[in-house]
Amino acid sequence: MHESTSSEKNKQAIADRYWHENKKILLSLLSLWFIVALVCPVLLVDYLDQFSLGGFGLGFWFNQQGAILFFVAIIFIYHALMQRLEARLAVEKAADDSQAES
Amino acid sequence: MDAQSFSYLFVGLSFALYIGIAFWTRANSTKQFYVAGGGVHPVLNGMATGADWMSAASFLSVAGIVAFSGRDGSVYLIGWTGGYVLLALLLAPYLRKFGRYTVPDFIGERYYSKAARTVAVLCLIFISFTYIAGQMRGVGIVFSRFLEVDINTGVIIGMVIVFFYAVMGGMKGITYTQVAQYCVLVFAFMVPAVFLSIMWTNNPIPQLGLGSQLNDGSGLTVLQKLDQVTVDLGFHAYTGSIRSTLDTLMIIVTLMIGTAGLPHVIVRFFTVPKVSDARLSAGYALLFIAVIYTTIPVVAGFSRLNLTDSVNEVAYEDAPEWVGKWESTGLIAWQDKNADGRIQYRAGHALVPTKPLFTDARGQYGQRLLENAPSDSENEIYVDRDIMVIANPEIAGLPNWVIGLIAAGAVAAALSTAAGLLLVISSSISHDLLKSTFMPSITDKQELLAARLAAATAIVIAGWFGIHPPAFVAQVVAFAFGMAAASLFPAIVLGIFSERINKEGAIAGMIVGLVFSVGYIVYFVFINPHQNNADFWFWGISTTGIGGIGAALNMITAYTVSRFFDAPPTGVISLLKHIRQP
Repeated sequence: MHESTSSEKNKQAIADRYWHENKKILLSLLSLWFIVALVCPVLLVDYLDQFSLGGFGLGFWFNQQGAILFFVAIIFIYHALMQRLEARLAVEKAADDSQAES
Repeated sequence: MDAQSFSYLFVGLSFALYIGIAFWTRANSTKQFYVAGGGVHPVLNGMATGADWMSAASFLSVAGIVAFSGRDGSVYLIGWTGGYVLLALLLAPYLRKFGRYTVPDFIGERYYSKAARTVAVLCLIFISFTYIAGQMRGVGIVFSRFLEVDINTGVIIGMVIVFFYAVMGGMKGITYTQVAQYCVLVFAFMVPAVFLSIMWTNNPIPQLGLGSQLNDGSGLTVLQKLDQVTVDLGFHAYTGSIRSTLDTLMIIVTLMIGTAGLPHVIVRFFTVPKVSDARLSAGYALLFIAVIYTTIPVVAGFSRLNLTDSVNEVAYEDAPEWVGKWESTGLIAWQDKNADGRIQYRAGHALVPTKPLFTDARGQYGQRLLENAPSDSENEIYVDRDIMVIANPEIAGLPNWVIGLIAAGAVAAALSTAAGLLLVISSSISHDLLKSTFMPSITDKQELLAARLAAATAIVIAGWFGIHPPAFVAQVVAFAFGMAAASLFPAIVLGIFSERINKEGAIAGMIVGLVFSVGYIVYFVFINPHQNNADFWFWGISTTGIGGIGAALNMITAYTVSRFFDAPPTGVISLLKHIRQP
């Protein structure tokens, strides 16, 4: 009886950690999204156009190709980070469960 | 074979494929009808989302917009792809975990209120019908240009095809048809781009071709040449901008959050088996969309060069054949202002009013004469932006089968988007209005029948819009994104990430965001169109960009009003705890 409540508590702690870590990942990836969607192609476009990438001015490249490619990367990075987080917490949860059983 | 026979062949083959899929994927339960049974592989769902997203407008119009406005056209490229990041990070995983069928479902449950659900249904229906009118019109236009059948016949043929797989197969039929449609349209879009890129730069990869050196021995790169040509003719430099920074930012923001708030896109992520698949599938969806969206600026740049090259300072009588052909459909017009028999292509509108008004008479060179007064500009030629993709193969002298391919691709783009929209309309009526609100006692079978009837009715209404298009179809696209941005997106995101937002706050927020955005657009587009320019706009923000402000107002209102009413009941808090876990 006593053990099962402490295991409940642990489960809750793991769930809270998951949500907290998720929010941290979201915040950093959304900052990157903000930079490639709005800062590079619009706010810093004239500055970046001094540099050249494959025949494009860098600012113009962000407008017509770069932002889109970064968006794709951001989603796949998010997926990878979340998979890793979920795997890590699943291990802890399993360890916790076996402890509760024994 | 000529271009028309190829068009018949390719469009006919693609239709046979879609109907075949319709028979193979009949839906037997509401779960199959609404979310394809929830068992779609993430990669296939990504392809289906890509087809869903590539509408007639993005297939036919965006390249034209970018071709004529250069860097300023990029707002559509960034806005219509960046929204998928928001979708993947802020919405899709949680809504998949929620595990129901529709967007109003979530809003109704999270805000424990039938009123909130009904407001969401109304937003959804208005957004979707706005969008669908343009799709049916797109089908009609493709039929009339390529197959030379009457526009109305084209719309009816399109309706019959969609009817087959949307009504029989529901989401299941639509999903697998969309996968096929994605393959058709990506091929149709890429082939001419590869041809163009090789023609100008010898580089077979279009995305790299746009940055390469021209193969004409001038030593210029494509973009340098574009800048040179546009500046010489009096336009702003192709890689430069004439739009205000704030307006550009707001348009991008509105299109991004509008994209993430569009019900027919969100609902695609209800169809995958589990939460992690929803994230992964959003990544694949954007990857498939990015293939086309990074090609759009390439097609735009080369077609602008081609256009300038083949018409400017060319005698009308020596102009290539396509000029006369598109002139006869009314999408190109020429007024010989300086009476030299040559076409001058310059910056500025050629005509007053700007759209050509043709008389029946022909001029001395055989050109169609116009009622329009000449404008102050030296520009003599009117070119409709929408012909850039369709006319491109002819302008570039590509083989006839490429033209047939474009026809099949454009029809696929229009049909796939129309079907996705029809499905969210029918499920919001049968599921949200009937089953969840007014007739909770109906059985699964009856609900399925209601969904089919609603889909059939929606097709007929959409077809009616296609045959009798409201004159303002082009302008109302701003509506769809403004509304989705200002109403649904904030309500869903706040609903997931805040425990404090209650039904009073959410409903007040949706109404404030909606009334503000719609009011702003209606004022400038319908009530006072002559004031629709930067001098009168609020902070210089155009009607396309106002949805972002509407979304901010929605959130502020929702927060403020929520503080004055009770926190959500414990049932909602445990629902939130549930959807936040994988």
